[in-house]
Amino acid sequence: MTGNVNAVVVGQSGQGAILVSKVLATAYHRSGLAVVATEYPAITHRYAITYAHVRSGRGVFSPRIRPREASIVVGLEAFECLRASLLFANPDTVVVSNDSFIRTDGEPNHLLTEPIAVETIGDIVAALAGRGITRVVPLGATRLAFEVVGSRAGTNMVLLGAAFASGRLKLEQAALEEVIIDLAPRDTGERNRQGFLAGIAAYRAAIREERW
Amino acid sequence: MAKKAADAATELAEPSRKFTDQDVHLGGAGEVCLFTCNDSIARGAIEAGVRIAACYPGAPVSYVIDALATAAQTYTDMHVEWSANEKCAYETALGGAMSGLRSLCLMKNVGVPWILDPLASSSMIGVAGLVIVAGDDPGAETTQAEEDFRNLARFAEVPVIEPSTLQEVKDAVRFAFELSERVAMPVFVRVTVRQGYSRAAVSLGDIDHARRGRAAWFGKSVINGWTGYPAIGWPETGTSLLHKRFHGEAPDAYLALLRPEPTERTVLAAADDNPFNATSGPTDAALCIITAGFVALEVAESLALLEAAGEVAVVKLGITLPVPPRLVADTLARHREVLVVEETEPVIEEQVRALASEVPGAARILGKKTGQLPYSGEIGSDILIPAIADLLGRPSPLAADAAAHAETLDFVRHRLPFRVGGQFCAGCPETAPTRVLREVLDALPGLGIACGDSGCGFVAQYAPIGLANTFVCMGAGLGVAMGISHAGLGKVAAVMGDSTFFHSGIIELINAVYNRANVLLLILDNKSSAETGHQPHPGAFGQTATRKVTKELSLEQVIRPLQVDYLKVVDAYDPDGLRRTYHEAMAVKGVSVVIATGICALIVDRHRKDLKQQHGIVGAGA
Ligand code: SF4
Repeated sequence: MTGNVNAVVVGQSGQGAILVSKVLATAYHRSGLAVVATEYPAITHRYAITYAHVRSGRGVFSPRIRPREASIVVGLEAFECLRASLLFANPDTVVVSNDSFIRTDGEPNHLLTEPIAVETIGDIVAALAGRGITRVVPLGATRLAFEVVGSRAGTNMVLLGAAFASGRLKLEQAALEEVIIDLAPRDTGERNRQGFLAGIAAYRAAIREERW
Repeated sequence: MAKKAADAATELAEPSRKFTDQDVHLGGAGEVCLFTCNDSIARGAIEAGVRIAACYPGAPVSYVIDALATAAQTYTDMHVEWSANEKCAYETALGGAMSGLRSLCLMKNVGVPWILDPLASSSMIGVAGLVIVAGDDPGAETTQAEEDFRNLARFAEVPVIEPSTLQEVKDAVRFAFELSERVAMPVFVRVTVRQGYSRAAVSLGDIDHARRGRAAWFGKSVINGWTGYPAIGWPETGTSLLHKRFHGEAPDAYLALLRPEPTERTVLAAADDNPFNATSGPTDAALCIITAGFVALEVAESLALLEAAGEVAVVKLGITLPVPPRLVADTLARHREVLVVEETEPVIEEQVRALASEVPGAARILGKKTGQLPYSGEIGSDILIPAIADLLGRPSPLAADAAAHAETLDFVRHRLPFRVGGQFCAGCPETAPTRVLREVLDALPGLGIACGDSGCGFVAQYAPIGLANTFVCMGAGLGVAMGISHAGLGKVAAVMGDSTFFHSGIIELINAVYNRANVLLLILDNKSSAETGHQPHPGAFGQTATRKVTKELSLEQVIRPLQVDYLKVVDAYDPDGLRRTYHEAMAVKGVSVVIATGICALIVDRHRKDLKQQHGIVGAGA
């Protein structure tokens, strides 16, 4: 089953992780590729972890991705990206992460004994590197979304573009663009497509600095 | 600002199409669509010619009503409703079935206990064409109890079918109506939360328009009508005769008077005939896996990864209550070991164990009861692969990953400074009422106990608000608060949403008034069942599920005749007004009710975006 797409999309509720999942699943389906997906919506409406698993390839029956078997993790929020990557990434996984945080409230982790620093995107990258996950590409996706899409709500499309540019999605660009337009809420189709294209460019610029 | 927009939001925004994105009634037979589970359920019901559909919202099945409500715009003979609670939903569907129409109701796992009384009281009367789709929640991702509703179906002796793929979900819902008609009983279809939130390709069938178009018909008979207490005998009661008929114990003289069904014999025969029962792998394999439902996909995935499909037999059951007796007995006779794979409780496993006592030389049965598989949580291939590998006497290919993952979990638990519980959306009308109530309770003498309830207000139990000290289930907050007040711990607060009030809170309030409890009930009137996807309810915007205009019940007008000792409506965005009101309400001995009114901020936001788009303003957001 090597070579299958095992994409984990993660963010906080309201950031559009489920729309990304829907776009991906539809693009695989329309491209004639086998796809199964499953989503984990947050129990409340905001500021709780939401993620989706999208799988395509041979020998794929269940939509659930096993721990440490994601081929790509797409993080719409930096801390949630860390959480999901710890569970689902392995040293070969590409992690595309927004560099922005949404600070949340709630009960603290009552088992915490030796907290690591998670204040900056640099902390997140370091924490993942410490667990052997080094193919991490942080992007200013929220800033790009404001610039290109006109709203922070386009962050998901910027990161989808970056995920596409990583080559891990195994989809044609035209197929994704068509689905982005078709599934966009209200009149956001073209702006979302621009966000997607900006994400592709941002990823390519970012990895020019990388060795892998 | 938000409040101004809220005032303008005179209608409930269109439902989210997150988990039902298809006009599922439109596709023709043979068309292959990418469906959600909710789409599959809806399409299966539409293909079956469903006429009545009712639901109280709850994960993971409530979006089915959105798809059916869309279909009902075209098939105007369909009645589709958001019911006030699950019991109302079941009884509506039951009445539809009593009138000869195919009828459907849907609920979450913790909704099933709400229908137990009418279900158990109607399962033996011979009603047909009645399907209940219920969503179980292995891992308790979306509900407060990791219960397995199949045990409740067993209580009412109602069959449960369990589809695995989304194709099977659609086909099984359609089939469930036929099965219900064959066995003359309600039939459950079990889906689980992971399945309920999944997407996959589904091939459509044709729609039985003739069945849907059938005229309603109602037969009146005190013997063979629709009473669970028919007047047919003495000294046996009519009710016991219905039960005797089911188990083949009714005296012949009475059988001639009764409908021929339901009988256990027919149900068991139908279990063996179930078209979703499937066997694969070598029939003489030492090891056989008996499984059903969504987790059957995990079995297939595990055997593929282990490259063991050629050495392990698999019996996938299409029906799990009752299990197909001949198929299971045959399986037990053929194999040396049988591993039963199912999520949550060992409902299949216990039946297989019971049947094994009748099979000479039956296989050794393994599963939850022998420790191979867990009771709690979802059962993924990461759990199954080591278990199956062990039974095959080989190392697990996931051993290294499993060890690394266990070490990561340890790291996450002890070193990751995350927060649990989520929080209200920005601008949420529930923030100030809950925060200020906690401040007031803390400022007053006494323990300042508050009891929580379902809905978005649920998050107020956690830091930083820390309002609620108990959380049980829908409507239970006020009941528990009453008990604590009667225990002598002073005036106790309870907080619930408007949807919960109409679901069951109103009964609790009547009980509180009648029994002179000393409680303060805060109702968060956000004008929707927000937590489950902003569905309308009897007090929200005067709209039905099919977007027809209906009466909008005012909470204040509903509560005033109940003779509570204090009642006030407050603006949810006015902290000073809230503080004053809570102090007044807490000073009253008896039942105080405060209604904090403010439309859910997400509905307001959606309305604002719609307006912006209508006026051509760019930047409405993706
Ligand atoms: S969905 Fe509405 S009611 Fe619920 S937390 Fe968000 S704004 Fe508040």
